Amino acid sequence: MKLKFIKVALAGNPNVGKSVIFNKLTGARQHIGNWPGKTIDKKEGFHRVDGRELYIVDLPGTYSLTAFSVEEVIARDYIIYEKPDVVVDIVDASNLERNLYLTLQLIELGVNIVIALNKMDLARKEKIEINVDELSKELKVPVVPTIAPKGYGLDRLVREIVNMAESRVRPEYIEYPGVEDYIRELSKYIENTELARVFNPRWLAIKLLENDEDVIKKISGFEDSKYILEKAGEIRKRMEERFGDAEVAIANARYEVIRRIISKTVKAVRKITASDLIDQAVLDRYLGIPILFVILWWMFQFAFTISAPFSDFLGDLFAYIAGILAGLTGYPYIDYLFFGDYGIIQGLGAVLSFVPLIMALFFVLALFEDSGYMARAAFVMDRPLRKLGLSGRAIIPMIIGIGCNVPAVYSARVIPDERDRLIAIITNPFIMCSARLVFFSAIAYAFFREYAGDVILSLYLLGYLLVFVTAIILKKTIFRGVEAPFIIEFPAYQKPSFRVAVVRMWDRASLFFRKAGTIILIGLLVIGILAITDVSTLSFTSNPENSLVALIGRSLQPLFKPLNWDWRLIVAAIFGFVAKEIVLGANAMLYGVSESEIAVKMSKLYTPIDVLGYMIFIQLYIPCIATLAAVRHESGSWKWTLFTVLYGIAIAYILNFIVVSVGHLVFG
Amino acid sequence: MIIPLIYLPDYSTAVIVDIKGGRGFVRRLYEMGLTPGTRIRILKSSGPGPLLIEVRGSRIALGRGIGMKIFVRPDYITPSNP
Amino acid sequence: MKYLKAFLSVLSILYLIYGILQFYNGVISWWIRENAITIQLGIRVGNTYIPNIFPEPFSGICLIVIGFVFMKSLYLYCRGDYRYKGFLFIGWMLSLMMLALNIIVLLADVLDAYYPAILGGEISGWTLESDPWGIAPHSILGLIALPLYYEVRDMIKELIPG
Repeated sequence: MKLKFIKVALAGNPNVGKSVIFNKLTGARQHIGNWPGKTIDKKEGFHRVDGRELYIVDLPGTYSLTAFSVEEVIARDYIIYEKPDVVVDIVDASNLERNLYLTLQLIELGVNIVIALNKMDLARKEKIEINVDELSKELKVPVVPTIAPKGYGLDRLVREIVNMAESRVRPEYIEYPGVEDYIRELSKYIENTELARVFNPRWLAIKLLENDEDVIKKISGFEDSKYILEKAGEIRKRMEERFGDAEVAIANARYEVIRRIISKTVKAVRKITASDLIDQAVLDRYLGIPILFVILWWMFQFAFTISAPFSDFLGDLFAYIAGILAGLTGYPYIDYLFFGDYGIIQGLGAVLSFVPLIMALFFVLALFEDSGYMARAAFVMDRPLRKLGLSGRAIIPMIIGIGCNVPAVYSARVIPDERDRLIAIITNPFIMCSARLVFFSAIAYAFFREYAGDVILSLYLLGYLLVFVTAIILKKTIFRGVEAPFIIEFPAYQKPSFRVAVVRMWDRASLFFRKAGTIILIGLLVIGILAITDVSTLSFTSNPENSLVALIGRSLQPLFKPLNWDWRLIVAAIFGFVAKEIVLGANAMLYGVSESEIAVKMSKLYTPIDVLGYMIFIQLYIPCIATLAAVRHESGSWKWTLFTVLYGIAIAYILNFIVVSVGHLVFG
Repeated sequence: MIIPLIYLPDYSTAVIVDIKGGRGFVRRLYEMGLTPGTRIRILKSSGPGPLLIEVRGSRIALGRGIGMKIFVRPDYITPSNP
Repeated sequence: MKYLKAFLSVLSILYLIYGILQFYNGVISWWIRENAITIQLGIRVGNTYIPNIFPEPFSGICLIVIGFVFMKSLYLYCRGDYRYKGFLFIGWMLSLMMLALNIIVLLADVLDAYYPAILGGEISGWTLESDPWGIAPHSILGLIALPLYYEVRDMIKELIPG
């Protein structure tokens, strides 16, 4: 029977080439969104073949289907509730033994499975020979050898998928030695209940014997669940008397099966591979970390250098457009709002100018992730960073933040643990970005002469110090909890795929533009309106001293008196919320001098201590609006975004105050 | 002789005898292929940082804390060239 | 590859020397702005040098690290330890990456200098001398390291699919 529409799910361990297969099958006809309620990417797409439409969902990569992690729950729930017609299990041929653990769990679910035996080329290089027919016989499912990047085997894979979907043959299960009787006993009870209509009885039996909490929760609504749970408990007790631990016994049974299958189907001669050799260098106790820093420095330079001309161009382009359109409508209010220096058009240009940078960074990040190096990098940095409250992979956003916090916050994606990721995101704004550096360089020299370099360096270090302190505090309080055991698999190194990197780069950039872009534009609109609205008449004013924003500045002045600030510094800081580079220009405008003279002007009005305090404040207070939008986007919560804002202002104020008070006490 | 994994030198091989820990912990290790009766090879144990081992054909990095909880019986201790 | 020992010795020493010089140049330029006399070690071309040791301490550190990687490879090679190859591969990859980076920097600077023309703005023009990087040790040393390809060719073949 020919089906019009076939629902397919792709499953498999991480690093097996699932995304490559997904991309090859769906090409441009794919869409990336989110799994409802979670921050994990959901990739779905279509593939047309022979008048049939395959709807393909790329499930998150998992090592198994116990409900231990978010990814596993997503994958498992999709298979159980969405009931795909076929599940494609993508298996790494060079790693068969470990991959089969998931395969067996999929077989337990009783779904239709086709196995794609991927990375055949790598297996060949590592001198691993696999008897594919025998493997198919043992697993009782079709096995298709593939080499995903070359597209080899994919046609046949699709044919098998279609065959399986249309053939209506019931999938067979594999017996587990030693525990099969117990499973069968429980599953017979389940078959006579309502549960059998939703869940595969054998699978449910196995899960209950394993005491899977998520499954127990899932069946609690059903009529016979109490009865079945009792039966399960009783059988489990018997198993425990025999084996000691039911869950372990079942896991062992799986591995028994795997061992048997491997011994019949795989022949391997393990030799030193290129990957082993590279790891010797990359994980060297002395050179490992320096090599990592060289690579990070390179990524940083590459991304910022290659994107700079495009960013500059976009910024200038929009300034040019704004310039041409200036005075277009004849209503000064609208004109300034849209075409003025802090107007919407320029704002749009500012947002777009982030895009090349984000694209470039995600391109290189994807290349290094794909090559296999990132796992090693996380390994190398993990122990030093753990002591400072951060995860190993957090080194990446910490370095990128030196250039710009926006892509840095996004790069926190590489951190798998959600709590660690949040910590990295929240603390990132403390790292001094190049925008702040612009302001500091201009001011520091006028005030501190030959010590300017030291001052700036200490501001950098202050930022990092706060990152660590905050991380440690968060780890010990709000984010306290059981650490997931630190286990990382190192895939074999491979030449990274350009195409995968490009696709990921494009996704990330367009997501930024859509999500963050909206927030940024709204923020600009608000500040723009405040800056040009006259306090008394509520109409247009070109003099910021009379504007609403100045009113805000003046009314806040008493608060900042302990810091020796004048209202103009406050207003400039408010403008700094838009973009930290603007702090310099805003101060210049408010004091009525040009940007090159502002430093001199300020040196006449403030002591070095006061300016140092102001610099500390600017370094630490809220992130610029683009960064804030990124934080909101990546953390998925307004609560944490708000925390970042309040925490930053608080720390900034306190430190500014301490420096100014102590400084004046000591130096007068 | 049964010792914690963490005490093995580079390039030695051993068979896992037992894993001590909570349910979720042990389960996680099982998923990665670390089960009693499995032979493993230490790829890197010296120096600071996590352990790197080879098990069932894959390279896995483990935190040192985990290395304390996995008990193995070493085959023999080899010199530095494997 | 014959003469690998000699080649690696020279290469690692060059990376170390240029790295240290660049680090020095970087430090004195950032801290002692005025009258900072940077050291150069190359052929003078017009108003600049080839290679141009532009002042940046972190870049210098990178060159030093690459020097150490090659040194470790040499050390292991002399001891007959097969592991020299991994270090050689990494060193080679890193020098190649530095070469590529230099080229990209030059291209980007040229682009940056000439794009205002599209918007009818002024072009400040670009010359090799005005470029902050110029032809830095990254490219010269990267070019010198290229022949090591033959030494790691088998590893590369293993890593490329197909």
